[in-house]
Amino acid sequence: MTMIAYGVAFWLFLAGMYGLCTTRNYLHATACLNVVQSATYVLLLGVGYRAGARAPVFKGVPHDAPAVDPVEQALTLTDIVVGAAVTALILSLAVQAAKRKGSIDPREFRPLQG
Amino acid sequence: MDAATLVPIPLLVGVLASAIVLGGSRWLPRLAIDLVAIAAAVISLAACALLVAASREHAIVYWAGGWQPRGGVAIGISFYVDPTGALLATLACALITGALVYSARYFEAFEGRYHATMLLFLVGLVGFSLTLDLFNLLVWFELIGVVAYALTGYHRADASAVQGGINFAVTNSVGSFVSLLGLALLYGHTGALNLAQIGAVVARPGGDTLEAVAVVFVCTGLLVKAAIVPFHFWLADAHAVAPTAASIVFSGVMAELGLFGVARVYWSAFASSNVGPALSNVLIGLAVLTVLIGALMCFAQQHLKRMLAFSTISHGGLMLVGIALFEPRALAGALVYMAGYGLAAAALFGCVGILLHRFGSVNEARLHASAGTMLGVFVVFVLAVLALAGAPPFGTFYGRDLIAKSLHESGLTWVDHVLTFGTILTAGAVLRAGLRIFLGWGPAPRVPEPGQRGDVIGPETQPPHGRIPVVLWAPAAAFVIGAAAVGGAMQVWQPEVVEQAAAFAQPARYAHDVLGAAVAVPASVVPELPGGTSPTWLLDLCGAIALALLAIFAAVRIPAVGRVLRAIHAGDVSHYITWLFVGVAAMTAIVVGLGS
Repeated sequence: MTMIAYGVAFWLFLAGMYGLCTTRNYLHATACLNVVQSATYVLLLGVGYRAGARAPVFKGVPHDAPAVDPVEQALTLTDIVVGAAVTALILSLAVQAAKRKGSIDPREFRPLQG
Repeated sequence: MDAATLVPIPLLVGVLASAIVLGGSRWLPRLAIDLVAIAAAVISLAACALLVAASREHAIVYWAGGWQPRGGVAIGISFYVDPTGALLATLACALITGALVYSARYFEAFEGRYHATMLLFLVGLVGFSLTLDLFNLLVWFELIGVVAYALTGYHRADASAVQGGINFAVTNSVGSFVSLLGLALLYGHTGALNLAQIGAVVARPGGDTLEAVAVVFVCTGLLVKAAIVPFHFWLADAHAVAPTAASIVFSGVMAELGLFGVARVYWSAFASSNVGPALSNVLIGLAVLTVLIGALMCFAQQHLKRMLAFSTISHGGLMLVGIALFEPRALAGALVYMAGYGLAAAALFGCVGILLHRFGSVNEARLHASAGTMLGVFVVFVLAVLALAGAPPFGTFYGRDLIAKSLHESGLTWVDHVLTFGTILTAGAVLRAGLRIFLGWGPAPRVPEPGQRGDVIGPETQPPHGRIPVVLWAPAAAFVIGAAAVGGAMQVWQPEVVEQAAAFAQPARYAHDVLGAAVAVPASVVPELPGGTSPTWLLDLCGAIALALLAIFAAVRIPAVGRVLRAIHAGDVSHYITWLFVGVAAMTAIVVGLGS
């Protein structure tokens, strides 16, 4: 089961990176960034998963019952929040770019030369 | 007062002050907002300075929420304050204070949002320097990142500023994702997030390949932040468009903290594994490339801010050489160099900002012979260039000296020659610009079309009238005096600095202090400091002066190599990410290959 999770994480990472390396659109780039981030979520959750274990809630359950690792879940939630903030920021910058330049194609912007 | 209670003060004061500034900006006048922000930064500076003094004897360990380790297993988030981390935190606070003073009154700030952003920047920088939990480190890293993206894209009306901000954001975000992957692998392997705990587990035999991959991934995000080749493209773009006060902090401490993070992660978690030699070789290779590419690109620039950005990239490579030797003396040299170079770069950005304020341009050709009356600024400029060239009494001299000695002992003298080459090129380029702009030497170079290469990018401050405002020149002067003060401090405290670096590089100490493990901490082995200082600095300085004069009067330029490099650096964000991907893949393959 975990091998599937690792495989999915690997695939998501590669797919997102390919999208970023060939992007022609800032919105597409933001979406690819989220795909790459999803790879980290899947890997984190896959690392923490225990086959046949329950959720880490122990009310009314013996304390030595097998449970999945809650730390990974906490890390993933934190990353989701950070990802949301970064996505919002990049999108607002892309909106500004569209306003000023009328385009969100990275190639339309003159390379920042010195 | 227990020293441990000082630890959360910079973090809390920064967040509280940013809330006050944001919430009260509607009613408070600009002066009040400036003062609140500066006061918060000064309080944080005092707290960090006190922490430096308090941690000299014994490092301070602070557990967030009081979650002490149980049975030698760390569950909570720990902050580990030793003089090294606290010194960098102090540097961060000093630079933010200077930057806030620099942008006081004249800088167009929207309703306190700028000040709040800078204060959160301070919080992130201090937190990053003091933490010993790997995930906490990455969270502070993200905070620094998000705030920096916002600051870079600050001038929203300028399309290139927005473009620079997006390039910065996408590149650094991908870097942090790769680091997170490394963290996930490490957690799966060791079951720990605390760096000391990871170190304790990694010391056991087995799992070499996984550890090698994990350390490369974790270091990737940090190296992206430090702008090491091939992850460096974003820094030049960001510096070109960010407000000057933000550039002061980016070049002054943010890039340096990325390298500090690499040192911290390696020494606390991986020093007892087998990944050291392979990682050292790869990092030194990347550092040499960085020095060369940064120096060549720096020399080819007319845009003053981009020139300084490439100088930061090149000197960052120098600092990485010091760290990547994985040896206490070189580490001490790198840390001192960080402080010395950071302050010098901040002073240079301050001077460029004054030029921008007065003339509305940062193009070397456009500004030719314009600043003849600003001789005070020229003095500060020249002193900062001396610091760049590694001349005494600046901190960079002592740092470079320590690194050079360590290189000679490791048999890597050729790397020292590369560092000399890089220093000569960068200091020469900046000196060339200064001589042209302030003294008007040499024939006027061809002015580019308006809007190109930093020309007429528009002032970021209210229109100037007459004299240069105090808030602009005072921080620049203070920074360059600070760079000299670092050197002066090294004159007195060099043995102790090397000792603290040796203690930093002692994995057993982390296990003992943080986990309470009954590990005998061996006395730090401080290598003998050979007496006398090498005259490399004289060569660097004379080389830089000669190069600057040649460039001005004999129109020395860099041939085809320069064209190829410029073409590579003229891409968009998709090219940057491609280089990042190739870089990570190559690093991983080489480290794993060399290690097996």
